[in-house]
Amino acid sequence: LAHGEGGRLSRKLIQERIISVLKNESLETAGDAARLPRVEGPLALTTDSFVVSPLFFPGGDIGSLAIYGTVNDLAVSGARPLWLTLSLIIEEGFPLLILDRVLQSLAEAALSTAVKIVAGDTKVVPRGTVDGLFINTAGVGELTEPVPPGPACLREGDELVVSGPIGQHGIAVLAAREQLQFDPLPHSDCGSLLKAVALLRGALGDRICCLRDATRGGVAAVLQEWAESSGLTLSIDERCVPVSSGVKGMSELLGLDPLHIANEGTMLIAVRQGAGPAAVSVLQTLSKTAEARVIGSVKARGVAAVTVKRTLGPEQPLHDPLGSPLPRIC
Amino acid sequence: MALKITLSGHVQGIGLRPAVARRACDLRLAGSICNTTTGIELLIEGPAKVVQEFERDLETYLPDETVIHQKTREMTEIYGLEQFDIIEKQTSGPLAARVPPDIAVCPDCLAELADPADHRFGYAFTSCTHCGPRYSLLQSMPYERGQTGMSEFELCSHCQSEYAAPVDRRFHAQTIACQNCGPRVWSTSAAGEISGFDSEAIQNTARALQQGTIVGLKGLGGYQLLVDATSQTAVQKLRNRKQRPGKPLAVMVTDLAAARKLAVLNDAEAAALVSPAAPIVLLQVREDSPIAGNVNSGLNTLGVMLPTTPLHWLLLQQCDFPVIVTSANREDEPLYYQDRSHSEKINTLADCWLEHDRPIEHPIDDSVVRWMAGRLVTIRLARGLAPLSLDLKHSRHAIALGGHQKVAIALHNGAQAVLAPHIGDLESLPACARYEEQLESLQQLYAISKANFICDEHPDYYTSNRASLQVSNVESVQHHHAHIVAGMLDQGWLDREVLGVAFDGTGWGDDQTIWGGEFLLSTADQYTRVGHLKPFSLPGGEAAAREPYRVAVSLLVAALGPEAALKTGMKAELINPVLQIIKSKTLAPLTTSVGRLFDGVAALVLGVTHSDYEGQAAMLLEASCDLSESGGYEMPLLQETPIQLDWRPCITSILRDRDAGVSPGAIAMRFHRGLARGTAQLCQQFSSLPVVLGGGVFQNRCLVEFLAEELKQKNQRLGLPGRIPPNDGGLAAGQLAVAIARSRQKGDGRCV
Ligand SMILES: [Fe+3]
Ligand SMILES: [Mg+2]
Ligand SMILES: [Zn+2]
Ligand SMILES: [Zn+2]
Repeated sequence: LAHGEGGRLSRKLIQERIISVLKNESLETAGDAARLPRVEGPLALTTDSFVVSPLFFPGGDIGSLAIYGTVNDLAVSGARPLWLTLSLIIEEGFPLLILDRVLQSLAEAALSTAVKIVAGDTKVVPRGTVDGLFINTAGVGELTEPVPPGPACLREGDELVVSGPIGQHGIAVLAAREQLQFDPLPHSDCGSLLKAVALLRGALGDRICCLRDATRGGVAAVLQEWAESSGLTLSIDERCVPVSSGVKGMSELLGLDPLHIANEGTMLIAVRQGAGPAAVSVLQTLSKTAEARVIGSVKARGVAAVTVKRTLGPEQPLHDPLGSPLPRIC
Repeated sequence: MALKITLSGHVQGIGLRPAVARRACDLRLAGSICNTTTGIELLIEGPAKVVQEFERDLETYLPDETVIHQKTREMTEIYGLEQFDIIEKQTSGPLAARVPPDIAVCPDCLAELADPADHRFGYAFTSCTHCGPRYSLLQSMPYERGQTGMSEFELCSHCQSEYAAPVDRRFHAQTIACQNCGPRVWSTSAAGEISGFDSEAIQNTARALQQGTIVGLKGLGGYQLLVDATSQTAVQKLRNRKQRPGKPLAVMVTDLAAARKLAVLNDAEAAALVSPAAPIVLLQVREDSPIAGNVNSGLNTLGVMLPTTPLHWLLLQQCDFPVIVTSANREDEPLYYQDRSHSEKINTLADCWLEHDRPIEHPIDDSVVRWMAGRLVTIRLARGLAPLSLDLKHSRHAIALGGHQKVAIALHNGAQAVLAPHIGDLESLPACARYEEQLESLQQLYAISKANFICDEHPDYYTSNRASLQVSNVESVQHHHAHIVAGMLDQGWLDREVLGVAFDGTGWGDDQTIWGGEFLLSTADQYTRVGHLKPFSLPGGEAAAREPYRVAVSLLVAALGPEAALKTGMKAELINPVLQIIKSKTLAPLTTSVGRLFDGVAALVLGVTHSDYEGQAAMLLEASCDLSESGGYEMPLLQETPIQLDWRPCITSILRDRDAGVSPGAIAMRFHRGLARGTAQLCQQFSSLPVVLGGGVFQNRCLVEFLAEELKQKNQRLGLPGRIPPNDGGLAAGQLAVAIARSRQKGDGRCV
């Protein structure tokens, strides 16, 4: 792939490779901006950039990630995703066959979540300025009532639910990047939470306080953020947190805590006191969230913002590392 | 003639006022003496000649424990007083008087306990001006009965008359009590049913110990668990309850003679056992000792202490075996001292309890000391030793928060500096809560407000996180520099440049790697890293500290290549995964830690693959040393900047010796000596500077003694650790000293 300056070469690239795969009328009209129909009521808008190495990993790739990531962000904000924009930043010399595979996967993910990609941009940049391929997507969604009020509205007694086994994505990517051979090799949970969120909101309505997909920093980062916005202590029990044996074994070897490892299709939900079991049974009707569990609850603010009762050992403050976890044992 | 004299320093809680009053009464002088927040204020009046005689001899009749930091005198007007009184007086201002540490029961009180004719025969709370609880029992300073946990016990006429009689040993003894007026002791079942009071309670408890049950006891600074130390089953039961699988336990015996049956002790160790602080002393265990093997599995040392209170003494009199004494809490949790009725968790730890109604105002663990290279080294600063006065002058309030493990707080209130008692590892929520509680109570006790906070540079310690939430000034000190400056402070060497050798587990380094084998050219306020251990990778980061085999793999791969790692005899299921991650910079971060080097060598030599407790692998390696072995491995210096101490030839030799059938004891010894020699050689490159040691690795007696010997031969001056623990328990003292030195450099401290 050669470095384009907006000439015929890049027009050709966009026509042949991208629009043909993503097929929809707004893109085909190719104006400077997408014209969108009127929507009643408030909207949600989000954007996210996707940089992952390697581009393909067990359970997903950068293409599906770029769709699900933004779709999930809209879903957990209480919105029904409508339109997406797509920006590709491609390193000069990037193999076209691989680009095709990414676009194919991206198109399938968009189709499965019924969102339309209505505007896009492609840049080819000199070698070494990006690592292969970066993708940005932005998404617009229609907020649907009742919109979850958010973590500032958490109260003592509220219950915390996780939608599935944690740490899958981070471990899968790490294993692929470091070329670790393990049996079983964990697969990323990369996928859409649209259906799960819709079912959950239908069943629980205003008993849902907040939802969040537990991406970078894992479940721990979401808990920390919620504890900060609410001024309360969020308390979980490690024994209740679903972790696959593959993730468990790998994280032990790597000295990592699954609570800190990224997910790409697993969310944390805070519901009002007593609603935890109902949330879990609704989620368990879907295969993607069949292992949902109540993992903890909201308490008055104590010594630590987030606490975890360990399977073996005491209740601990959940470590909130500045960056990647560093050894502290002296 | 009338004089006003003030004294500051260690002048309270040691019977100084009664001693002075006694002297004044002898000379028929009038006046008064009182405790103030700055120390002692003394007014004396009478015929000029007699007052002069009084003043001239003053220091000769003060108690032996007295340490005077400052003395002032001035002539005052004559009030025409008629007698000499000990009076209570409140003053404000920063607390300059030393908070007195607790003192173990004295020989005079023990004699009374044992004498059927004595008023306090068998009384468990006997104390006098020379002994008894101090720090653990006081609510606020100055140290007066009204401000201790004894204030709720009103003196009977007998005690009152002793308290008021200048000739009595209990003249103004603040914790005075007897069976008529003082606290009582009773025994209960696990469910809380009372089974007896006083001597009957003690008998019940002794019987329970004989039967191998776990006894809970309310001690001086917290609840304790006791079992028969000669019973393998009883000790195992205790370990299961406490969830403490392997970490060694300490024993208590009645007297020195009983201690000698368990361990070999020199004069200094014997003196430490019977000293007023009565710490746990780490001794060399005798081969014929009756102690159960699971008390100190794999070790040749045993922690021994003598009865700290009359209650312990009375109980031990009725047991003809040594008794395990350990804190009543699960591993990872802090010493429990509050009302037990609120905690189901604590109540299930013991089968029966020996309770009493004297409150514990400040929880405090037992201290631990070890004799090495001709010096007594504090391993854990707690009961009897803390708060420790630090010789630091500063005009502002500062609090050093310590590290993450073995945490202790140090502070300066503008009038004095102290290192406060050991709290523990901040791994559990209850431990963090205890840390917060002690921080609060210290600020109250020393009247500190709006302090500057000082913490470690590690971004993820509980204490540094806490500091970042502070609104006031926060500054950070590099971990190993703090270790070295703590050692400099201990030596009184803050005024000079030293070569600091800091060997420990891990600390956050300036280059974003994990340090732990550092040679720092240090002054009190700055340092240059002039040498370090050759770095190696730590596969799995913190997990490598719990699983020494990972370090062994890393050392082997670096010294001999990956094939060598598979030939060590460790299981391939352990080795192969580690080999997969060892090349990744993120999954296997670099370290220069000597603590981890010990772990790796212990895994190679002794096959220790996993640790039950922190430091276990290194302790087992030290214990296995064959003292008759005279060899030492080569640890050359790589002349780079900084200089590197290269352990690779040593690993090669270990493998060669192993294959040749050399005993693990000999290999362990050669490793210790090799490390000491290599270290001394590096020190010699800075031969004009005195050497200061810091870091937990220097709790290793074998290493310290070799190093001391090497440096002595080369005539390089060495400052060994002493009163301030070399491990992270002393970190806060170093942090405080660095911050004060820096502020003096900047000249903004208005320092005296
Ligand atoms: Fe340290
Ligand atoms: Mg996102
Ligand atoms: Zn006494
Ligand atoms: Zn009395």
